[in-house]
Amino acid sequence: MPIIDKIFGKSPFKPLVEHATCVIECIELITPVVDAWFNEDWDAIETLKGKVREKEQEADEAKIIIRQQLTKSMFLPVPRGDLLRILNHQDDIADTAEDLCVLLTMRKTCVPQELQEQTRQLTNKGLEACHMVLGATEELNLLMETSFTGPEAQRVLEKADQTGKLEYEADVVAQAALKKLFKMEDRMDPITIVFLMRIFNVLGRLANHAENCGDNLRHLIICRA
Amino acid sequence: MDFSFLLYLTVAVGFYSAWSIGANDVANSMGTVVGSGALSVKKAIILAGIFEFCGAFLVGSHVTDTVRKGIIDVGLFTNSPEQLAFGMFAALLATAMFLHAATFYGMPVSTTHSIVGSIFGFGLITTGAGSVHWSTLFSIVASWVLSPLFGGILAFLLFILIRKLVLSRDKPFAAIIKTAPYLTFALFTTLMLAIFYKGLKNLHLDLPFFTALLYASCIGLVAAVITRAALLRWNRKLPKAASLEIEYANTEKVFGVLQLFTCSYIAFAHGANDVANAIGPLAAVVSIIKSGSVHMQVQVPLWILGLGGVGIVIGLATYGYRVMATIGKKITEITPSRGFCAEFSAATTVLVCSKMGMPVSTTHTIVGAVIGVGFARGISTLDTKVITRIFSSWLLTIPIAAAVTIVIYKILNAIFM
Repeated sequence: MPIIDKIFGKSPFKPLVEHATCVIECIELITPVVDAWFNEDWDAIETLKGKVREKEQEADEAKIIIRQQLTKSMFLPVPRGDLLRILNHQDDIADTAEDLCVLLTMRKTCVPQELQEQTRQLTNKGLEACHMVLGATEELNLLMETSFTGPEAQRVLEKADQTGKLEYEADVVAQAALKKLFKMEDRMDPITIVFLMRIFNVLGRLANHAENCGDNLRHLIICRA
Repeated sequence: MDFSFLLYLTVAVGFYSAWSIGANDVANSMGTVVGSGALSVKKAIILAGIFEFCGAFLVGSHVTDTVRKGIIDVGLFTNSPEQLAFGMFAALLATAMFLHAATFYGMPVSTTHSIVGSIFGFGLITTGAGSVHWSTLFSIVASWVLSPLFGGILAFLLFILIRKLVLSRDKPFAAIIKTAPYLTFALFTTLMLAIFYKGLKNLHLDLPFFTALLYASCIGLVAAVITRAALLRWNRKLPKAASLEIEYANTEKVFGVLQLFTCSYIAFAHGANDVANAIGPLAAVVSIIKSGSVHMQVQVPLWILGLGGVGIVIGLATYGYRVMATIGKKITEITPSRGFCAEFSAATTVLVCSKMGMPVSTTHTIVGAVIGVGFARGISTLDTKVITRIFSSWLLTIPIAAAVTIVIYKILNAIFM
């Protein structure tokens, strides 16, 4: 057989985009989970947890495919480490979604009315950051087409910057939520406080992982420019 | 003793070699256009056939001469022309056998390398190391290393240029309309120059260099004007405020059309260089048997160039068809803009080598050019294992091909002399 078909390895960008799509499907379940939590509908959370797990496992399969493809003999146009780190951070996002479900099903911890708005804000900021960065990863194919330059590269870089801003905003909301929580500490049961702290922490992690992912995307583009 | 049977045998083996060159190498030139869907397999075969034949017929004689009399000193066989005829036949047969075995084991060996190795082996065993034109042999071997390297550097620079001028622009489609005419000009001018300058000698139309350059650039200019007009028409069909995705998709489509030219170009260059592997030894045998002696200054007869060309074309049509159908779908990792850069650079390199009479491997040059584009961040993944395998095939081909030739020559000698 002619050698010309053997020189091309399988593109790691395609499965990476598939992975991002999987993770997006996974985090789209977070809003329904939080809704169910606010409504104290514990059964609904249990079913949603199953769905999140399913999506998380799908993402894991895509992850394994990429890892297997990126053997040492493969020559890539971008640093291999950046690709693998993007993959890991995306995976962390899916894991965080799963962690949230696990926490909410572990104990029936209700959110006090006063904290609901902040919790909602924190969730939305985190999700916004994730969607921003995963949307950027989904453009990797087009980015490859432009050879990591031009307006398309600018577009992805802007999304990485936006993700960073959203992470900062999420941090601010998380701090406000915690402050408010501690103001109410006298009339709350300590275990509930511990659990709420952990839940806020998990929600805050969404934006953190998104930011890290965005940082690696940025490096992937500018490393050899 | 009448050796005319040897003539028929050599014609048969030579034709078979040409056939297998056409059958196996067609995917190198046409794989990408079939893969990207720019051409159907049938149309690709027809296009490749036309240009392979033209390349072989018009430019094939330079390298043929090198294979026929450049590697060993054929003058030493003046007293025993039949020995040379047997040796050339043995070299041809050994190459065919070696290639079959190598293909079976999946080694990326080159027809060019093995025919050179075979003739070298035969010279070594008959008239000794003194009869080998060592300087020619070394420059041939050097050209095997330099041609992929040069193809790679050219492709690297060309892709960077295209990225700068087209891919990184805000409006890539508008940019390709400006750039494409220059690309077609360069392509047609080099291709036509190769044909006009010393190419039409066979047709008794020998043009001096500057006249040839003038004619070639005129044709290049016409091609550029046509390209520009066609692209402007294309542009009118495009919606005014197209999204970046649509702009890029259309830019790639333009490169897809330009690839039809580079593919034809590479088929031409391939025919020009590789036909010699099949007909170089044949030309030697024919001239010996026809005249009964060794001639240094004979021109390669037109019918032999034609035979080589026809053999390649039949190889394309009979077996290349199948190779292409299986391979075309697999080569989707290389987009038209990258394919254009790699093919243009490889074809130019091979054509320059052909004009210099250097028998180089078209396949290895293409691989070098693809790697060049990869280094310019143009290709999503390249498997570097292929490079190691090409290196090892370089080291193995000459000694093995030489050894097989020596064995065949000894057997023939024992039977007939």
